[in-house]
Amino acid sequence: MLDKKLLSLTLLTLVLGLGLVFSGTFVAFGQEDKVTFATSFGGNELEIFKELMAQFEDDTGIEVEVQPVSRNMKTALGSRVEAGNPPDMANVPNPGLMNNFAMKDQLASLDWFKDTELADKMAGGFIGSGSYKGTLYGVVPAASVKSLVWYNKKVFEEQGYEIPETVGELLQLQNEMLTDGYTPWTVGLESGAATGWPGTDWLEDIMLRLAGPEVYDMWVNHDIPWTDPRVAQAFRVFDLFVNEDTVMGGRKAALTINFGDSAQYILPTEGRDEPRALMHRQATFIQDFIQEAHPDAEVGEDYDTFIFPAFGKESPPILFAGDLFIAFNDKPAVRELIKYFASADIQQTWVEKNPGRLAVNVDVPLSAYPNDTLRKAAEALKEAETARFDGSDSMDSAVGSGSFWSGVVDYVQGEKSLNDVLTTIENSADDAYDSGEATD
Amino acid sequence: MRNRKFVSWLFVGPALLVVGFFLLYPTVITTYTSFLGDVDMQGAFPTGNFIGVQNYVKVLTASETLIAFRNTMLWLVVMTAFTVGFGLILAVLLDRVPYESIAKSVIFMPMAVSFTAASIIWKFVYAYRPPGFTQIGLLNSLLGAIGDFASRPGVNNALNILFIAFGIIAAILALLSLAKGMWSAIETWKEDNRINWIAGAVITGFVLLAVWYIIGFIGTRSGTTPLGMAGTIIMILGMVSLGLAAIRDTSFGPPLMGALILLGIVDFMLSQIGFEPTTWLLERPWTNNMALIVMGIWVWTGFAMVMLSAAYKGIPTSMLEAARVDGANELQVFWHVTIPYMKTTIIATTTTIVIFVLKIFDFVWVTTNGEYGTDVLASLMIRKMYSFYNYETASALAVVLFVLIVPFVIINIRRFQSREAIR
Repeated sequence: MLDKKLLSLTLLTLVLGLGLVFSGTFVAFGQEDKVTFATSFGGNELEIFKELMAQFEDDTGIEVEVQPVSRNMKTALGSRVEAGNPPDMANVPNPGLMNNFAMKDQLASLDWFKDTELADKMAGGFIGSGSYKGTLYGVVPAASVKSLVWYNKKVFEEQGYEIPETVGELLQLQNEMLTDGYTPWTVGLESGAATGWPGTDWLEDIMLRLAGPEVYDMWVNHDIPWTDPRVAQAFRVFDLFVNEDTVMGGRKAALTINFGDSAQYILPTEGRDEPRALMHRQATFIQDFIQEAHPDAEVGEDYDTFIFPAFGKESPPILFAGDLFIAFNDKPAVRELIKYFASADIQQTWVEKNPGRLAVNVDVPLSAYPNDTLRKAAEALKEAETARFDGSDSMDSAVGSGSFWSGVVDYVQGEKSLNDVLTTIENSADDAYDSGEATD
Repeated sequence: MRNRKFVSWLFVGPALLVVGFFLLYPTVITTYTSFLGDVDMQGAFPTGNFIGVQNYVKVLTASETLIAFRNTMLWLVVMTAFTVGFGLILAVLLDRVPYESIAKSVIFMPMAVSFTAASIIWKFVYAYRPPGFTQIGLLNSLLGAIGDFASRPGVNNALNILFIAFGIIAAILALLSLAKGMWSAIETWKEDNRINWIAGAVITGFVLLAVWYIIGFIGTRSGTTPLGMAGTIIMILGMVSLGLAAIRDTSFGPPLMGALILLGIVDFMLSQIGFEPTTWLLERPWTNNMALIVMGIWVWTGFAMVMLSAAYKGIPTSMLEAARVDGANELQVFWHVTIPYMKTTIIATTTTIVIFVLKIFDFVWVTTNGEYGTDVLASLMIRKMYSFYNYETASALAVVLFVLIVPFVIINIRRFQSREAIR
């Protein structure tokens, strides 16, 4: 009696299991007029993204299935690709991941996009950022600018501080602040398992300005070693800005304060009359953090931004981050979607609905942005002759999310010599770019 | 008979399958991967070219691995010793108090908290803000509060009086003991060498304490100056030798010894760190690693305590009584009856904790992420595998870790089997 029950139960499980397997296989077969899109967007961003996709469906009649995956695109997407069941499209947060797929021939070439007139509308450097060995694999529809300095506008006006137009002027301004008894910078490098990344942004900005975009690309692709004098020079310039005297609370504070907490100190905190520091270098997104800590503060009135200047008077190069749209399958529907998201119309809708994102298409008018700060950033992005993707995101993760972070942390702590720091990073890079997982 | 064999296989079969698939297969794959270069993880079996022990050479010579090795060894020694030690002391002491179950529940509670949550709790304990900011970390705000309190003029005077009073009491006790010891020494000079030993310890302790007070007056108890540090060390030595004498001479009693040693340690620690906020997780290599190990001790002491307490309660009271009737004092009973009786459980607890410590990674991962020279082998391995996708070196590290753990697993199984055999 019992045996029979057990047997039937086992059989039932087997049948159900097999059924699941087969139905899974059926789902895997895609339809021609349907696009599956795996996305790392979540929360509000995901809602907005879905709205945009609905608009695309209405306009083109192509069905899109948005598949939200975990934040860790690398694992989520990687396993689906390895299993032979990739989505038609996906957005990836950095070229490094795109390059990994491209290297294994798992991506569809987007070179056709270069021949469309949309390609000319993309701001400087954006086509290059989506390319791997000369072939275009990724298109960035919207980005965020990283080369921003947030400052206390009231103190600047009271003290008559001018917005610096060169790195030299910025250093001069910094000294002026110190003489006036102010602390120039508030820096927060702590970010849990990603501690150090805000420091790598500093270094990338400096490297891009100091050595120029060509050397910057070589550095990111590990065509020059970390022990190269130009890299060492960038670290030394970084130390001119971030050291015991110029940073609120000194080196220890810079290492222990969370990146999100650090920005609030450009405005008076804890009931004090004066802010603890006057400037903070961080991407557009940090405005939310400042606003959260100071709900009454007005951007453009109490605090504002300027673009981290170049060494000379030329227009400063822009460091940005953004999502690359990549395709695993080449079919008409996919091409339609990419063209759609590269167009000015949809990008304008996107930046209007999702403040903080900046359109890459130069036809999107500046009036689309809700405030002057974003407008300023968008303008800089539009006019920049050089724009580069956040370098650490593009490096092999053993470096870009490993030894580079640790190196910055060690350097700021000041217990290791610059030579030691750079040699350690170089060793890990040597290792990573040898092992075949490399992006070169 | 054959039928029974079949039935037994039927019962063992599923378990064997599960173990084979989830343990044996990954172990084989990992070991195989650790000998490959340019590995491709697609499919059921990794492919790549065989490069011999190159991955091991790479892993075992990298400076990051050496640091991780050092830290793992530090964890192994310090955490195991303190966890088992505290567990043992608590098991024995709590057995004698009426609120045993409450105290035990409280001490065991961290074990119920997930390690990640525990790490986050401790991150708040160690949190740092620069001087002049509101300290949000428990430890730094506590230190700051003590510092503020102690630096008030009234409190400062009161503390000074307390210290002087304590000094006088210690001196009188030492003198009394000295007189008694001397007297006993003269009385039983030829019969009992042990008394000489006590007298010696007491005299040493007294002299050292006296020197400490003199140095304390000159160095005004500033711990960071060489003089102040010397004074503190001398005080600790003096207290320890007095304490040693106290163990032998029951008139002092163990509580006094405990109080003396504790005061010495607290005094020394305060003199080392002062009242300024400290970056507990940044000061390499000792402070931050020790700060992390304390988290492990906090979590695991409860486990050791429960295991050892069960064993302690299993000791027949008649044996302890017999020892006491024979004239053994409590420490002698502890060393010569309790410890030998609990030996197997102590070993089991120790090996279990050792196995755990070798695998530890959560605490490091959540609090420092291995920065500032705090990486341990497991956290390094996880990072290589899942952050850097360096399957080969991660596998090599995994195998190294596995080889380190296997002996302890064997000890545990052996012990288990011998116990089974007795049953």
